[in-house]
Amino acid sequence: MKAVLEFKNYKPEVEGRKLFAPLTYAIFESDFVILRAPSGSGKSKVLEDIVHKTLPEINISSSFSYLPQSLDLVKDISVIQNVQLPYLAQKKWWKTLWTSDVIENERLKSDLSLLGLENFDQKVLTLSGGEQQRLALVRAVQPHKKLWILDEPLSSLDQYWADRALNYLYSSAKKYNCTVLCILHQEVKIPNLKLNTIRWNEKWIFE
Amino acid sequence: MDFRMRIKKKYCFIALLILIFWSTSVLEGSGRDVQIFEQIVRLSHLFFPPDFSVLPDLFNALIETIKMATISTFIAAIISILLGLLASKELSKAPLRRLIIFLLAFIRSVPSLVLAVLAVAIVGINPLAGVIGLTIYSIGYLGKFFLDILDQNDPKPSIWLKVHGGHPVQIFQYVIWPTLVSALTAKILWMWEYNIRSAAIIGYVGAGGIGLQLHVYQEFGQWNRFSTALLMIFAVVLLIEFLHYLVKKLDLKIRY
Repeated sequence: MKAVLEFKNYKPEVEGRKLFAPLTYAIFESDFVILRAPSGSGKSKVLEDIVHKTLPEINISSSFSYLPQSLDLVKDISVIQNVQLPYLAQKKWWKTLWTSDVIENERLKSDLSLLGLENFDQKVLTLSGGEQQRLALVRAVQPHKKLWILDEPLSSLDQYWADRALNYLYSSAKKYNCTVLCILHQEVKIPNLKLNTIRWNEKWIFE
Repeated sequence: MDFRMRIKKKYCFIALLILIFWSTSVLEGSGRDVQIFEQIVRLSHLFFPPDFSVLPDLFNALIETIKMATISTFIAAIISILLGLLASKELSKAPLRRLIIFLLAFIRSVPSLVLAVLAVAIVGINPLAGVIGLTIYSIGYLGKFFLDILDQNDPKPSIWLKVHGGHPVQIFQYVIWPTLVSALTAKILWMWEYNIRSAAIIGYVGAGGIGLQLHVYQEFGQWNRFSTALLMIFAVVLLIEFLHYLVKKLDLKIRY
C-alpha cells in the first residue's frame, strides 16, 4: 500500500533550533492519526512544514486541506462564502469572476447545520470563537482532498460541541475515505475507530 | 528614573508656556483702535434677514459644488486604490513604495486652496479648476488611508487560499477585496463629505461652485445674500451628517 504522507528522517526545527528527534513514519489511506506532544514543543511547526515547505524528508502524495490554529477565516464575508472558498479555488479564476456558486452547496449547508451554524449569511466577524472554530472545521472537511491536516480543531469548544465536532470529523473521514492527521489535546475515544497516535515524550512513541 | 521624568515634564511645561507667550504677538491685530464689538454688531445687522431671493441661483451653484466634490472623490478613489496597491508592503518593491509614500505626503502638505489657485491659473475660472484641485488633494489623503489599510491587512487568509489552490485573482476577489471594501467605503464617504465642504470654499479663488457666489456677494457687499449662502452650506453639511447616520445604521443591520 502506498503511503499518503511519509516522514523520512524528518528533523523539525525553528531557526536552527531542533524541536524533536528525527521522525520516520508513514500515514496510509483512511488512517486517523493524532499527533501529541507537550504544549509549546512545536507540533504546529510539523504541520506547517507539511503544508508550506517542500522538504525532501516529507513525501506527500495527495492533495490536502489544512486547518491552521489561527483558523485564517475571511472575517468580512459570510459563513457560507467561507466554506465555498476551497471549491471556488478548484475552478479556473475566470469562471469564478461573476458567480460564486459551487456544486457542494447542499452538503455544505447540512454540514454547517450539523455543527450549529444555521445562519449561513452571517458575517464571520460576528461569530463567537467556538463558532468560528466549528466553521473552520467544516471548511477543512473537503471530500475531494484526500488528506486533512488539522491543528487543534477542538481547542476552544466545550465538551458538547467537541464531541459533536469529533464525531462529525470522524464520520466524514470514513464516508469520503479520507485520511486525517490531527493535533489534539483531549483524550478521545471513538467506538469502532482505530486511532493511530504519534506521541512525543522525550522520544517518539507510536501507538 | 521617576525623578528625571518629572524634571523633563517640568521643562516641557515651561517650554510650552514660553511658546504660548511668544505667540501672543499675533493678537495685536492692526494695532489701531478698532471697535471690534461694534463691527460684529454692524455685520450681524447686514447678515439679517437673509435674502432668499437668490435661492435658485445658489441652488444651482450648490449642485455644481456637489458635482465637483463627487467627481473629484470618484477619480481620486480610483487613482488612490491603484497607488495603494502599487505601494503596499506585500506587492511592491521598496523604492517604488518609498516614492509613492513621499509623493502622497508632498500632496498632503499643499492645501487644496493652493492647488485650486494653481489650477485656476492653468485652466481658468471654472469648476474644472476646482475638480483638479480637489482630486489631487484627495489622492494625498485617500492614497495614504488605502495604503495603511492594505498594510494592516492580515495576509494569513490569503495564504490559506493559496495553499488550497486559489489563483491570485481569486485571492484578491474573495479574500482581500471583501476585507478592504468596508474600510474603503467609510474612507471614501468621509472624503466625499470633506470635499463638499472644501468645494464650497475653494470656489472663492475662482474654482466654481457656491464659493464663487460667496466671493461675488462679498465683493459687492451683499451680506444678506452671503448669509443665505452660508445657511445653504450648513444645510448640506447637516444633510451629509444625516446620510452618515443612515449608512452607519444600515451597516449595523447588515452585520448583526
